[in-house]
Amino acid sequence: MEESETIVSAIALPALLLSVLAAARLMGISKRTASIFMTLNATIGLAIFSALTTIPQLSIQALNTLNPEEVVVIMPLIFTFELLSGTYFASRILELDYLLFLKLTLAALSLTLAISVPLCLLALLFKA
Amino acid sequence: MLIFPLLIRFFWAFSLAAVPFLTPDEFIYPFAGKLYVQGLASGNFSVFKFNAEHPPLSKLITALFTFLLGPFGFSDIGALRLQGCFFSALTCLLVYLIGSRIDRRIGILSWFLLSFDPVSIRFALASLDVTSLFFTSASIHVVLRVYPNSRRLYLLSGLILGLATLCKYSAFPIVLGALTLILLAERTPFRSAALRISLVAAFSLALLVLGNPLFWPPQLIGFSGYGAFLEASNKYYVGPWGTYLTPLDWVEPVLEAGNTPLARFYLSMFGLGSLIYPLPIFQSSYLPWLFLVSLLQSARRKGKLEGLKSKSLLWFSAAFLFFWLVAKSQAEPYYSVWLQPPLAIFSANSIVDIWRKVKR
Repeated sequence: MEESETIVSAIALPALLLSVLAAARLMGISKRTASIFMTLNATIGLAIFSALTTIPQLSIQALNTLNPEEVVVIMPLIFTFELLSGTYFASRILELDYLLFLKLTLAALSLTLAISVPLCLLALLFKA
Repeated sequence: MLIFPLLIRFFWAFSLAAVPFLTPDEFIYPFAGKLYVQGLASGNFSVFKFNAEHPPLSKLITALFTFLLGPFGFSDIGALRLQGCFFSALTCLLVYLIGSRIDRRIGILSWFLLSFDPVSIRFALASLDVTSLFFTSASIHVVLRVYPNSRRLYLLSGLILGLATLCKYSAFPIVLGALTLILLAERTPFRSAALRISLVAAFSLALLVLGNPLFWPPQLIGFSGYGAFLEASNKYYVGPWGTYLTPLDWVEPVLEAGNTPLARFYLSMFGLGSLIYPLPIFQSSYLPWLFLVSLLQSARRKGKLEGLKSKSLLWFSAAFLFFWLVAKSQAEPYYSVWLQPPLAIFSANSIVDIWRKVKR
């Protein structure tokens, strides 16, 4: 494993976990509920899109051959689809408020980016 | 009573198993197993440097199978296949036992769904994975049987997890992840949950260290086993740039993109690796489809997930997210076998629930 990638994984995963806990605390949601919700959210969102990749136009091979301009358009759409479907079904299954937990998801992801991008760039800068 | 379903699944999978070989690794395991046995007999631990990236137990079991079956005309690959089919048939039985704890119909249906699942049958040839999966399922079976304050069962679960980890390292994070999620969902008090997780982790790690000579002190084996393990593990460079990539490694493409608008795009989290599940689980198995339909049905009815259904969902989530987080950019399709037992239990539970509601 390359060192730079180890650095990114070592920063991004704890940043994600801390962000979920911090966002839950700020929004008055129990940490246990937030953790289970985020786990199911990611699982269901990824699983539903994984099912859609059986459609030839959305297959992994087709997505891998997109040119950069198409990637910039399509990937945020996929991300939004996974996020909304994962949040919707996880909140329904756990009998939670959809909008509140959508806010939790967005807050946690934004916080992860805000924490991990500068840290990763700093770490990679020092490594270089 | 249980021997009949065991034999059905075993002979069904073995009759469909491709012999001589499908992957280059297959030649390595029987050879490594025999080498380890010779090394242990002569006290030469340096043999464990060979194929050091994988733990030794499954390969030692392969050696046992080749020694036992060789006189009956089985080739090394034939014995390896028999091992894989035997342990995957045992896993199907475990799934039956897990399901039967709630309702015998759930147990039978879980066994049926897993026993005839194409992925489970086809990838019974992944000997390290299926042997480890049997011990992993056994460890989770013990955890699910646990009643509050029963430390002995957690200890037993830890020891069985140690055996699973001695076959393949993936077992350790999957079982600990599943246990953590189950304890979180059960709202177990923090100290009690931490104690149970620590018990399982400590006993499995102790067994892993005892069972793998690479983790023994250099004074005892005459070389740095841990160094050999790290060196062997670093050979795994795969992915689009010949590197090991996880979905979280999106800074690397930014640096590669340089000062272009694409770099700003990559700085968001829309990397292909993060959004697409690395295993094509829906392409060749009916279990993920049954799971998805069951899940959407649960969401539609807003029925609360509890008991075995909730636990099997969390077990599946732990395995599913583990492979998403750490899988190489080109994950091996046979990793899918790790997802099938909880999928079978969850789907069987949902089908029986629906059947009960229809009958009412």
